[in-house]
Amino acid sequence: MIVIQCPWCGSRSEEEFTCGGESHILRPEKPAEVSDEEWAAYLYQRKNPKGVHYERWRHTYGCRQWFNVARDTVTHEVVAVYRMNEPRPTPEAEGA
Amino acid sequence: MKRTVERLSGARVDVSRPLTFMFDGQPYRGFAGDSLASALLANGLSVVGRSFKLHRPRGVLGTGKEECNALVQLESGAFSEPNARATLVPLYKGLNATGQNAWPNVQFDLLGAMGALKRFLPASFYYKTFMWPNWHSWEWLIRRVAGLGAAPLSADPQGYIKQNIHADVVVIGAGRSGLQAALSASADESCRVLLIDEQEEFGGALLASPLDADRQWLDDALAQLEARANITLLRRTTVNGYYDNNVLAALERVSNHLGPVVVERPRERLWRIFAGRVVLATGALERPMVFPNNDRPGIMLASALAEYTHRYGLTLAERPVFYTNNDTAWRRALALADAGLPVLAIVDTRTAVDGELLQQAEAAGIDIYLGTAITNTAGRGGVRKVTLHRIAADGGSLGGAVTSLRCDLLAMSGGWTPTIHLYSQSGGRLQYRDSDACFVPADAHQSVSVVGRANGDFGEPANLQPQWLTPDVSSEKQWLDFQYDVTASDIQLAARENFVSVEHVKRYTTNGMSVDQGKTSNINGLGVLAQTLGRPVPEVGTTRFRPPYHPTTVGAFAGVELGALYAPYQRLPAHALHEAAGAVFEDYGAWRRPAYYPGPGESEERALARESLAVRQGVGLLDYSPLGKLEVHGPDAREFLNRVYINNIQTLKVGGARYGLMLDEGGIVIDDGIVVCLAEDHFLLNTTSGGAQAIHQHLEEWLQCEWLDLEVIVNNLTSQWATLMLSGPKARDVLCKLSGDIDVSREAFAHMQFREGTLLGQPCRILRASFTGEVSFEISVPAGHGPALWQALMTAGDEYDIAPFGLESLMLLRTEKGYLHIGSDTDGNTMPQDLGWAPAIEKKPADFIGRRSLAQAVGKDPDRFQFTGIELMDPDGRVESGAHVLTSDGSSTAGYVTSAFHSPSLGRTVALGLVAGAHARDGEKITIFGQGSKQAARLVKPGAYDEAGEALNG
Amino acid sequence: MDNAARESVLAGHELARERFSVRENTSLGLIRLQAFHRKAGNVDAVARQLGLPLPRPCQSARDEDMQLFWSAPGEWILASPAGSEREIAQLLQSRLDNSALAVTSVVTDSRVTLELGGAAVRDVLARGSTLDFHPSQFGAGRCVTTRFAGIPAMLTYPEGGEGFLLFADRSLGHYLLDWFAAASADCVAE
Repeated sequence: MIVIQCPWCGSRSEEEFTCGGESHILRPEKPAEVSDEEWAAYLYQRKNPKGVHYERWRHTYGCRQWFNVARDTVTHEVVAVYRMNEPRPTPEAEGA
Repeated sequence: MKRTVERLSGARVDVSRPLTFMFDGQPYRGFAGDSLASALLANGLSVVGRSFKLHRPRGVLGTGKEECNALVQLESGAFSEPNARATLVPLYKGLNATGQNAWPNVQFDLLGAMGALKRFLPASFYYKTFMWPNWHSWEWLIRRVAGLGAAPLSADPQGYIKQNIHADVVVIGAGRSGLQAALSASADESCRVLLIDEQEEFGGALLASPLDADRQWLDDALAQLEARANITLLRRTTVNGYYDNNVLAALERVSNHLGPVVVERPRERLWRIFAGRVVLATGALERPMVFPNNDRPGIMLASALAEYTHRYGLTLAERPVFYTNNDTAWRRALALADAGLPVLAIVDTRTAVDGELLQQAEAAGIDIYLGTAITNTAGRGGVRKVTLHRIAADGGSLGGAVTSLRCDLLAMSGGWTPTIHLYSQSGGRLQYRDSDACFVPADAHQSVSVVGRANGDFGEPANLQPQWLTPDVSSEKQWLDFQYDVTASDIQLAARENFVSVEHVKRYTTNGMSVDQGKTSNINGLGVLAQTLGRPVPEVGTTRFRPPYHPTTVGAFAGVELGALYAPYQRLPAHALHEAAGAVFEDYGAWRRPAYYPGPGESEERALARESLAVRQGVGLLDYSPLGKLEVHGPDAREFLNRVYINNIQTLKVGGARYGLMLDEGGIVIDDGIVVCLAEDHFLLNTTSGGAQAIHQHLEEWLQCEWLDLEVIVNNLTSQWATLMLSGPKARDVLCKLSGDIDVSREAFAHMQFREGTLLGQPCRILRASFTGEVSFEISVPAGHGPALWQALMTAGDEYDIAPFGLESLMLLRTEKGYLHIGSDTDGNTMPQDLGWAPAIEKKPADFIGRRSLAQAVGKDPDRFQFTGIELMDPDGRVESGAHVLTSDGSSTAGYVTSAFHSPSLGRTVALGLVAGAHARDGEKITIFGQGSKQAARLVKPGAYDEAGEALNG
Repeated sequence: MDNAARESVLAGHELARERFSVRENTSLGLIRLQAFHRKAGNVDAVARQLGLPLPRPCQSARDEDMQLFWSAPGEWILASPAGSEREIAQLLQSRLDNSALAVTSVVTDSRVTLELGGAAVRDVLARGSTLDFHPSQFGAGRCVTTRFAGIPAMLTYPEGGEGFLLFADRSLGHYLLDWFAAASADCVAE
């Protein structure tokens, strides 16, 4: 059980959210022009860090909003929460 | 063991309230305030259980959670509970318990002879012995011989509830340290405090104190706490799990201390606790001494003897002997003597003991044996004699025999283990403290502090010198885990066989895997392992502590989410009318929908035939309300939908409707439906029934995560509208009879058109689409008017013998027509080209979600499973969905039947399927394998009924 | 044929225990207001054009006989006396039409509105959701959407109200009533 700070609704328990996996994955601007390998990488290749993982979560049972969570996969600590239109925090800001 | 009917004065049992109870079929008497264990002891029952593997007789060892011997089957029938700790069961009137794992009973267990087999049944015995020919050929025997209590066979008649609670400070354990912490935290009135304790009453070890000052302090503390409004007190509540973000789980025994009765209150309540700060005041557990035959009934923890004496007022022995390696047992012995009770001797493995203790013990007339080990015990049904040997100066060998003592109880103390289970679960680090040979909390990972004995602050010096096992004598009968029959020799065997990781040793020997999860056995096992490996204890480390701290009833995890409430269910607006019409309901996703409406004595197949023929020949009415209704608004709505659908939405005119397919980014078909253009910047999406929420989420995900520049709003209005599907050649005639302002004539309202207006005085939307192949009107009114519309249409259709039809009949009708149903005729691999959409996609210039994936190699494989009709060669043949289509050599699967019904209109089976390369194999003969037999069939175009498709324009 | 009669979700079914009660509230007409909220200033402009005190996240507000509930960023539920909502929605839409900053939809029929009351109401709520229902944390004016009994539901304690209001999808009304009956079995006289 982790407790997540929804940027709009505040502190809520994990069961209200859906995890959407790694965040900051850029969709190729012109999909028709990328190679099969590049497209496959966009679809399937994901980081699996031991440490801070940048992922997106949706407050499914609340305000239905997607947002980003920087979460430590070892300690389960949520290091930062930021909206989809906000930049990824720098490592210094995470205290990492 | 002595029978003590009278209780000592000052005991915390109410001798004015006697309670009768049954154990193994015999009546006994105890008092209010007793635990079952204290009541059994009061009645002189020394053997109350049998061990798991060897059926050794077992007596009460402790007083609480650590109890590993006194496990009983509580009550019977549906109320039966296995493995109840007699120490934790408060006595109630009529309590009925039986001993476990014994026949005929725990006193005279015929399998007790197993005990003599100990040397033939070492750790790993099961692994090594029952391999031939395989484990299963032995399992039945093992299950008969080894085991504990029996699970009840009928449904639990009592209720359970789950509840969440938030607090600024949560104090766990209401002994002296916990009470102090709760008092100080709750002094601030704005601070919400939760105090939790697992016992019947607050006080912890204070309840066992013989000192008036302690009792007075406890009464004062409780009075103060009771008076404070900002503190919640939870008794009979065990915190079982400590999770991330200071979330804890606790089980409150709300009414099971009342016995086998069904009351309004739940039996147990599972609390989920959200804590700001946690204070762990969980105390410490005493450890057994390890010596030959230390598992004999009548051998108990010194702290237990003290508690049974001072709290429950029992006089358990005339000749008790204490055996210890630390000072705390001396104080227990002295307190017993102070209370005027006899103490025969104290045997201590240490050569030197605090002078004052020695003096007091001598003054009390207690015999003292220092530097001495107990090397054996004897006595049937209870300890009667202990043998003493002097320990040599090196500590690793024995000197000569000293003597043997005739005794009737042995109280042991091998030191203290702080109860750090929850602390460890919280992620906190432990460190080993040599001076007390125990693990204590070090760095906390969460906002938690540990106080009192749980933190290793024992309040009295222990001066402990560990002796992990008795040297120089066989380790074979030196018990570590009394319940699972694990002895020191098992640990040594594991080490010899190169199991050096503490986690492996635990599993190989099963030490600490018993019901109590090693509360008394773990640290001793660790000590023996460390000694065997010649490594320091901290280097060997502890096994990981995981929830639950104490076994938790499965019912408590379920709470009220059982039976009808197992999962949320959705009801149609006109549910009551369908019920009245005799509908058979089935769950389609979460929706509870009529499958069909059988007449009296009518079978499902006959009902489906009657309902579908009514639609084909007259008119039928279906509750179609779960049909997804998403409205998409905004200046970029059209552009957005053009990216979402494989179809060209740019050319869809206002008022027009178009069939559309939706893919995920991997190119897999996830939804189909009708897109209606209501205005240049306003669209209505009819998604698959039951798929509305998922598609709503899919659309919002793309808008929120990928295309933040698009100005689009999605609104899920699925349940705002009741939607009824009126279908059949007479549908228009029926609809005409209802008052409204929408012209439904053939000329004014063509197939695939959409109208808004009023019907029966209510706002109304009608879409002319067809999923049956007949003229169909999908009529929507605000959901509250759904029942009235249903009744109005049924009345208007009366003269045409209108038939309500259910979802199974709809599935039959659309299968006859070869209409695709997403999720039935598609699977997790289906791409639009498999459904024949490749030419249409090629014409669309713009990109859409999933398009690029279609061009990957996997999308071009000629053997992809493609959507097709299947016709059985035998006109009377039947097939069910799920049947396999075989490869030409019959060796493997090349597809399967996805939908199949017996068509009453065609008089034969109609089927659809996904078959390898089907589009290029039209007309080809295939073999189908299903229900254990093969039959011949051929691939045909989907849509056997009304191939020209004229009926839907009628 | 006459105008179609309207049927409430629970059609009179309710739960009345000594310390907890559930009753369907059919007196509210509901409008969903959705703004194109991503552009800075848009939400303020919508509030200005509508002349409504749009509440901030997890809050409710009141404007004459209209209650306003925040439900998501740029999204509110407006509750007015039942029967008036269609007219009000049209009026609001007309105020918005020139700017295209927001859209309104009547959603009365899509929701079930339950009044929850009784001495044990906060305890029962704590059995359905992990939120903190202590009066210091969930007082008048709070309005949240949460996971309740496994489904998304909006819960509010309106200003001047006498208990909680729960809004959920209408199709789940009977499920909720069944759930409340099971979860409040102990809410009998003490």
